[in-house]
Order: sequence, then structure tokens, then C-alpha cells
Amino acid sequence: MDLGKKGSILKKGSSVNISKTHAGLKKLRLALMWEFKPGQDADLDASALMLGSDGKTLGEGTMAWHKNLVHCRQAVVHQGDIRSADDLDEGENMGKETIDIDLSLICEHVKEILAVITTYSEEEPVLFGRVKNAGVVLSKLKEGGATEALYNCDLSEDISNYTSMEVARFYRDEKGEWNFQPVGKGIGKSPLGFRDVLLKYNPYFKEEEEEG
Amino acid sequence: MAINLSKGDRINLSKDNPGLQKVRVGLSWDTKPGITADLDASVFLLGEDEKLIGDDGLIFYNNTTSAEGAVVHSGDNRTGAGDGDDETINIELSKVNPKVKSILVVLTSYAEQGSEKINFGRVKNATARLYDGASGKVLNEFDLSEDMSDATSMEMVKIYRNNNEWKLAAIGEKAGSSYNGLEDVLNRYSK
Repeated sequence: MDLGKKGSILKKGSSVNISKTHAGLKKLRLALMWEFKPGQDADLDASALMLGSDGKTLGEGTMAWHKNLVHCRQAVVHQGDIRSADDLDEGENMGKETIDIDLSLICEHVKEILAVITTYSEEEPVLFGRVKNAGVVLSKLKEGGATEALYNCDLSEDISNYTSMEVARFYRDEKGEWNFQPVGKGIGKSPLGFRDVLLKYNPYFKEEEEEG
Repeated sequence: MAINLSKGDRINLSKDNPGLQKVRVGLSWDTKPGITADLDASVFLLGEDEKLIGDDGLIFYNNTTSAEGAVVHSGDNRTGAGDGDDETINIELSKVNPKVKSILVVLTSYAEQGSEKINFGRVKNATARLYDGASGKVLNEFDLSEDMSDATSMEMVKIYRNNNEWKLAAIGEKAGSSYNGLEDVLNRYSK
């Protein structure tokens, strides 16, 4: 049983102005969590995209994911990859990936930080239906590495048939204040889940063409 | 006037308060000046075997309402600030699952990963109050005056069935001193 505190419940789609509710809060940890179903495995990867005012990524270096753990002077740091249920210790079945964000270091032209989760397969698509109780917890990062959970959202509905999902976003509103919004919306169904994310958000992404 | 209870006391709720259907247990505490402590009230629904009737038999900050709605937790108070009860548990006795033999109310401390352990040495005036849930009248009060310094969990009171009557036992016993207080109690009562 998970005895960790998770903060207040936020419904999918509802936003909270964290500049207002937690004035001065800059360092955050976003944890994406799920449970593996018995006998089923899935390689889930969390990533964070930095989007400009056109809602697209700003260039090669603006994604923090397992291939590029640190973005932009430590503004966004991906804590590493739990690749599969095999990585877990005996008796555990919870998967988790975390991304740390320092809002004070986010560049001016970044209007949104979008956290996504994708599956990876070289054969049949591995759908989110293989895991259950997917959720997100937003915590305050305190001195010394301690965390304090602020908000949590259950994302398990409506995502079973996808291989990529928009988890949550941090966006600047018209006043420049940061807002947090759990999303929980599926993006695509390709075996390489991240491909659909790139197609949607990265204007520089070109699919490799078949040889011959 | 509220009847004060001492550790080890047992009272017959049904006899003392005929017709009592709803009760509320309020837990309050004060921290010593300059100190914060995140304490939590939790409820363990135990069966005949004195064990949790299931995972959902634990009513706490991550699961605030029992399956049949008999037990409702007021929600998490992370600082204990303010007067009056800091966390409350509402119980509707008539709705309690027949499998449940006793309702154990515990007080535990919580430390976030990376923070230092919080023990009851940081706390004073830990009190459990029993109210008539319908009228709001305080029926009993149980002050833990004993020093529980190194504990991180305490069994406060137990409301239990006996011959179709509901009774209450004032316990006030330390349960453990692990980093996360609730864990020791969970280990004791899990099947």
C-alpha cells in the first residue's frame, strides 16, 4: 500500500495557479506513477517538452527525456529511467519517473512545459492498458532534497489504447503567472510512442525515409 | 459535561447514550514552540481476527471514506495549527460493515522522504474527543499526558462491538517508532 502523501486531488483538465497558491515556489518535482499489471510489462518513459508561443518545441535541446536528461542550465532535470517491471525489487509493482523543474531558470520564450509519457516497443505497440492506476503527483522540492506533495491527479481513464499521452502541463498565463494543469490525454498509437509526440510538437522532426 | 477518560478505561457507548448512531472522534495536538509536526489520524477497521478486513479497511489521508460510507475522514491537516480538533473521523455506527468487530483510531506522524523523522516528543496535549455526531456534544475526552517522546505512532481509542452494544476503550499505547509512523501500525494489523 502506498503510504506517501499526495497532496490535494486535482481533476484532469482543471488548472491551478501555482504562482498564486504557492507564491515564491520555484522548485518542483513532477512524479509520474503507475502500477504494472501482474505478468505484463511495459517500458514507459517520461519526457518534458519546452514549448514556445506557437505551442511547438523550440529546437533540438529543448526536450528533457531519457536521452537528454538535463535542459537549459538545470531548469529541467529528468531523474532517470525505470525501464520495465524487471528493474523493480521483489514484491514491488509500482513504476515511477520523475522530472524536476526550477521555474526560475526557465527561459523567457518558453511558454509551456509539457510532460508526456510514452511506451517503447520494437514490435507490437505496447498500450497503456498494460499498466493501471497511472497518476501524477506534483511536489514542492525543499532544501536538502525533501519533498512535500501538493497535488495529485488520477490519469487512468481513457488512455488504455494509446502509446503516448500528455500527462500535465505548466503554462504561463496572460499575466505571466505559472499554472499547473493535469491533462491525461492520449496522443498516438505507434509502437515507438515518442514518434507521435515528435510529430505533434516538434516542427523540426523529419521521419527517416525508407532506403531504396 | 464531558467525562474524562484515563488510559485503560472502557465505557459502554450504547448504554451511556441510548440511541447513539453517529459518533465523531476528534484528535488534536499542539507542537512545542518553533516546531512543526505533521500528524495524522487514521482508522483501522478490524475483523474477528483483530486484523484489517482488507486494504480498504484503512481509512487515512489517501483513502478518506470507507466502502459503505460508514467512516469518513475529515482530510489532512499538515501542521496542526489552529484551535479545536485538528483531524476528525465521523462514524455512522449503523452503517459499519458487519464483518468489522472493532474500529481502531490511531495517531501517527508523517515525514516526507528526505526530511527528519518526527516523533511525539515534538508534540504536547495530544487529545482524543468523542462527540455525539448528531448533537455535537462532547461525550468523552482522553488526554494523553504520558510522555511518548520516541514514538511515531500511537493507538488512541478503540470502538468495538460486544453483544450488540458498542463500547469504547481508551488505549493510549505507543505502537512504533519507524520513520513513517503509519507503517508500524499497518504491519501489526495486516493479515
